[in-house]
Amino acid sequence: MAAIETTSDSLLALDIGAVTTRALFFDVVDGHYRFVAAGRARTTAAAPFRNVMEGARMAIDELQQMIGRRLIGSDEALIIPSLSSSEGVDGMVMVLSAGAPMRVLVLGLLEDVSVASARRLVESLYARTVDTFTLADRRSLENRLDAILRLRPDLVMVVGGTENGARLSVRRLLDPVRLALPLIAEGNATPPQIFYAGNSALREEIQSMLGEATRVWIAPNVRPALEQEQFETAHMAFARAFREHAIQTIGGVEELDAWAGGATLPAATAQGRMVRFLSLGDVSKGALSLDVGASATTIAAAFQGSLYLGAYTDLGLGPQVAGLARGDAWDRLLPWLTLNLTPDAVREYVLNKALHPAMVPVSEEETALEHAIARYAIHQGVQRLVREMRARGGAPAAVGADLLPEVEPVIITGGIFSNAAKLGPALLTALDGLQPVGITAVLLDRYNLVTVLGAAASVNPTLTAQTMDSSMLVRLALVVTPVSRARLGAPVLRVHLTDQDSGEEIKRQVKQGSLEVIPLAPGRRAVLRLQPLYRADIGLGPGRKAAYEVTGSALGVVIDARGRPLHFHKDLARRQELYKKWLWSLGG
Amino acid sequence: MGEVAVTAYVLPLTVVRRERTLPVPGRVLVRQGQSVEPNAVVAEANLSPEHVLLNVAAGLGVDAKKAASWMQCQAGERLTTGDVIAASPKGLFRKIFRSPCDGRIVLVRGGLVLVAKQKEDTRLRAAYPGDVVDIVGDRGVVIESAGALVQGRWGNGKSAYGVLRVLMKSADDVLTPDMMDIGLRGAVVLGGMCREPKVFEAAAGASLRGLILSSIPPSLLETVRAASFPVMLTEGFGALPMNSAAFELLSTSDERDVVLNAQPYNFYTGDRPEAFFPLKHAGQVMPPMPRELSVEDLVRVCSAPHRGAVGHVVRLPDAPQVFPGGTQAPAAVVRLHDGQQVTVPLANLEVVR
Repeated sequence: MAAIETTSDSLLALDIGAVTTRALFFDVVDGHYRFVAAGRARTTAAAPFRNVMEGARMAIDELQQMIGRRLIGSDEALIIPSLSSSEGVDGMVMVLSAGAPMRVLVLGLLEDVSVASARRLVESLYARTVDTFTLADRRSLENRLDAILRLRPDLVMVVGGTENGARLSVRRLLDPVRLALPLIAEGNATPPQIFYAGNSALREEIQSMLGEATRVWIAPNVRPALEQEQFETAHMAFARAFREHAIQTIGGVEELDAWAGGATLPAATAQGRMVRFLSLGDVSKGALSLDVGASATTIAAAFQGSLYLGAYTDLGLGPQVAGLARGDAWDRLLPWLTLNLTPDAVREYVLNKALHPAMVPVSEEETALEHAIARYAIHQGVQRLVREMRARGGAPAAVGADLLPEVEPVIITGGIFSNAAKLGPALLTALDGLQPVGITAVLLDRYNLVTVLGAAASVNPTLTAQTMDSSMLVRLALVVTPVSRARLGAPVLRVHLTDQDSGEEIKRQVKQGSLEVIPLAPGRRAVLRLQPLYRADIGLGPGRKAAYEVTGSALGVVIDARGRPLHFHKDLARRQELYKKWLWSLGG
Repeated sequence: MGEVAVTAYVLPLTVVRRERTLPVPGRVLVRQGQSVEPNAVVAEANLSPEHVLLNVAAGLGVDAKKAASWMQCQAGERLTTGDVIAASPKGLFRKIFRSPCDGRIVLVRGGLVLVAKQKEDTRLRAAYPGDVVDIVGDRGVVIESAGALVQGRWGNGKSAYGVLRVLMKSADDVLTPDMMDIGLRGAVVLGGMCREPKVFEAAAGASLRGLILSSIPPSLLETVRAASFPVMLTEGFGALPMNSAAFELLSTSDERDVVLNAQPYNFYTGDRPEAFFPLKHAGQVMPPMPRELSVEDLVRVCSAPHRGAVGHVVRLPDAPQVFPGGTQAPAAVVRLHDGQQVTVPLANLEVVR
């Protein structure tokens, strides 16, 4: 293939996921930064390679063939900066979500205050809390020491003490850690990193107390006052600790990180950064990005620059999916199923999926089951994120207790969406799980570009801004969700669409409980007039009408009048019938 | 897509290197170069440590500095109950602080003494017969061994060494409780599909060392997890016959010594359960490294409707294929051993080497 002519400032972005590694290439084309191509390969973090470099090399090899440009030199190193238009690249960034979740021990003063903030911080990356010590902990010092030695956490997160607040209590919390560190060192094991995000008056003391025994990260106080949480600055510091952990535990990350100039970011952090940036555009709404991956279901929502981020490792569709076959999770999954399957058949699929996390569904039955699991996982993630919004405050009010505030755009990514040959099922899964309200554009990100652009923003913000503007995402649909208390079947919205090019007019009266599609192909422009009935709310207040100039998309304008929150019929046959009808509306 | 194929090894002759390590540091009891048998203890450690923090200063009623000067023991020393830890100089009112338990002093700081209570160590056995080729810190060893290898898909986390007894005549045989008898005592049994919980009761009753099965229904998961002996599934969950490559090697290994390491499949490390038949003087053929899938590769299908079927890749279409459920994915055309030709997503294939 002939080389694509470019000028300068090209960028290679590596996205190392739990299952797939992607190598994406960006360059200046016709005076603007563009996404050029992506190569991909299976991630090779596990045996027998135990080194992500192998998968990265294969993805880059594929990319080199696609773009006709040599990126790796004869010395097996990245050619950086570029030597010519057909050799090398000017910069590299890397995002990472591969590897086992980081195991974190949380130490905090008060369960509902600093510890709650710490747990949110842990949940914002690929990590899980293995134990928590608080002031109210009734375990003896010896018991807590034994717990550390038994659990062997990767990181100890210490929080608590408002600014200029408690000191002695924080010191006491650290007693079992101070005892444990020399014992761990005695056994030649790697001691846990310490991440301190408590009362800043203790920073130097913590550093000198523990700094000789292990790596200590000092972050801004995550809870400087009882009513204030500094999530984002603490998250960025936590992301650096995550990077260090990945370098220590995943083969090949150190070398690739060096190629990236030490700027490796957890994929969730990069995703959050991009969503935060997008939220600055429209102050009336937030922005949201959803990534349903093998390692986690990650949801990032931001409102005027305030970020809410959850990387829920227990909700990934990879090895953790086996958790759905057990106990309460199973009961919660059942209402999302749209197939007449025995519980054993569903468990069988879930357990086998956990043994083959990369497996893609083949039959209609498997695909429907996979989408049901994804809808459940997304919805669980949304519930947690909404709880976080309530706890931290700062997000706009939503129309319902467990609903997201209004967001636009909604960007979806992950194999479940990007591997779908038809876009209707992908959109329906996203709508059922997220249950957005108001008016929003739903965009499909087939290459996880939003995440890598979040990482690229730190090295080349112009590239990020121009590439985001270049329509590199698939516009799935413009979704209008009237929320009302009308009875099922009552008209809730009058829609009038006028095609600006052909003059064609489409008029619809949408009933409560229905899902309707008004086609408007990509490239078409139209005026959309919306007249809510019976005080239905399309995000502007009860009964308030609106008119918009809109552009076409793959599925057109989708009116989701099924109600919020969505109530799925208890009877499986009825649920199945409805689901088929909705899918049919969206093109099968 | 540059797809490194997931590889399940079924090798009649190979050399394996297996890391046998404890989850926490302890003591390694063998040296590099030493030959070990499967039952040899290679390392030991206390997996559930219990410590006692003794405030010696408070016990003696003195300040920390004075208590420190009265200490009669130091870190690393072993103690038995009643041993003197600290004592004031001899005199009429001599103060003595004694150990309340058996253990080892791990830390002396000022007037405080931290004692690790004496507890029985967990012993880690070699599991594989072979040579110790590396020592992994204070946690364990790497053992190199030659023989035949069959990797499975799921294991209940236990391991054993015994003689294989083959109770399967065909890959889709079902193991039933009446097939268990006292003649199988101490053996690792090759069964097939298993559907009844009573099989595991009967297996325990017959004192089996282990079970190699093709599949179990999900309803038996907890029973198998709780079994006192190792259980490995070559296929997974459901009613899945054994793949022909594994069946051929296992079913022709009756009466051979076998290591059944039913470690759980770990997505993050790639560790899998396996059956290993040691052979002396078997040469030095290391397992081939996984590579991109190629035409003629022997593969096993991991998804319905042909889950467990084995065949050869006949074609690798350039474009992604669309499957009945609407998923679009890179795929391979595979001729199964029963003659059928099927198209399967690459992600749903395992190379059998």
